[in-house]
Amino acid sequence: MSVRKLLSGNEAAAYGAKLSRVEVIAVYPISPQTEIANLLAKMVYEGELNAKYVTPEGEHSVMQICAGASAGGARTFTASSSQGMAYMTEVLWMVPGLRLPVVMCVCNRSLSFPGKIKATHSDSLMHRDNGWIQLYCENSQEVLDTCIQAYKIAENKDVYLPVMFCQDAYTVTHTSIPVEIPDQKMVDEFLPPYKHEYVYLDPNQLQEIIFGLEEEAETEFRYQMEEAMDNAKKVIREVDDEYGEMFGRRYGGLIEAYRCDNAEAVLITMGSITGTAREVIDEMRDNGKKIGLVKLRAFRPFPTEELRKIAEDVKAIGFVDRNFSHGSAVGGIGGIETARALYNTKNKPLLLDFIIGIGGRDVTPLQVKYMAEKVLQAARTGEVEKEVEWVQLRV
Amino acid sequence: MRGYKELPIGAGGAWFSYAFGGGGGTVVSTWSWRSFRPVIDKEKCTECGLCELFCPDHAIVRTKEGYVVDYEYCKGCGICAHECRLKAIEMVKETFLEEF
Repeated sequence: MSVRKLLSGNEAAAYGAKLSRVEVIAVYPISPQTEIANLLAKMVYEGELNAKYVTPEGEHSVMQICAGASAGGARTFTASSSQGMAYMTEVLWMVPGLRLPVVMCVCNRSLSFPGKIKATHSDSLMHRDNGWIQLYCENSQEVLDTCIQAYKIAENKDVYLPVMFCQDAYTVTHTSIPVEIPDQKMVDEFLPPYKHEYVYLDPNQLQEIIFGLEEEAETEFRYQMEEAMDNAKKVIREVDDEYGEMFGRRYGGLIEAYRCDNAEAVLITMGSITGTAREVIDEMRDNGKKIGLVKLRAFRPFPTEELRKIAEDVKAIGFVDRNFSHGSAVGGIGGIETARALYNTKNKPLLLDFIIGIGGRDVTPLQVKYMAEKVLQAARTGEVEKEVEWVQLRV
Repeated sequence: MRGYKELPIGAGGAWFSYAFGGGGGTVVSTWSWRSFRPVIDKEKCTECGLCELFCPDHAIVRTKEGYVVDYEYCKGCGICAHECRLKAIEMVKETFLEEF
């Protein structure tokens, strides 16, 4: 029987890991992720979860342990944020290269300096090039569901890439909503035990993972990963469908198009801002404005095909970036990717970029409405007033 | 040279070093990195195990016949010889270097 409980994003991530029957957990606490570490430790201590719980001296070792455990045939879980992930960077590159299906919950937090502990997507987005699949969640329920889906995606033999699923610091990690916790038996049916078909590090043998290839084949190995990323698009869609059939909740695969029918303009959001945007779009739609909302769920692999399809019908797109890329071509990372995805299409829409919500600053319905009006204005006039706008900037 | 379809999935398959003949994967030998090889003098060796502890590549293991060097993987760094308190390990120049 599934149960309904009031859960924060962090609690939902821990329950997701428990339901996925993880076997090795290695974590180093960092705000706002600490609650996940606490709750999993409690679950292991009280015998609710049969897993090895490791507390290494830092995040670099955390990811090393995850890599070793995953290569040794154990389903592995970790969670981190911001500075911790930056410290992990070296090993974050190693794990996808070794094709290990490690799953990590990222609690998106600003990086120092001058960032503190609230939400900005930069900590995970700066790892967009190394082969990790990145999924962004809107609320606690999606965090729990995405955790279970993440293992199914990562452990698919056509994929074998690690997955990070991300939630916004505090707005999701520390905000409780009623969450449906699925039945363990059904999750077991959905997610079979983990077995890697190609990589196996025998725990009973003296073995090590070393640098160096017999032949210089990085090009070929990287191309294999490129193919795996491409396969992941299909797998993410299929896994989401299968999950929807079994548990009744669907997230649209790589993106969710919300009220996009006959839209002249759309806003693209990631993470918790989507929740606020839904309300605003509803209101504007009901007042006859032709505006739609696209939730970007997967940033890696990037939903190029889906966005191209949406771009066919709209005149302007506004990307709501909770990140920045200092000195970039134009605007935030999401905007840059979208621009490249649409560049070679015919009748491409105008593109606006909004930098907003940096350092966890609240994104209000009024601000979303402002952005939506700007995109609609561009669609109506055919001109872009401002390519990039730091919406909340105090002057 | 093998194409991307022939190569084992993931560099992982090729990157595991299986000291002392473990199974599976593609074995990558590292002996050719060596210009000197450690040779253990059984007379002097008291089997204290320091060499095994210090070897950065697990290329020395304890067997029934005492400590043995795995020359398939030993890179010849010489740490074992440096650490041995009894000077029971000598670094001997590899002969294959002279064959070229």
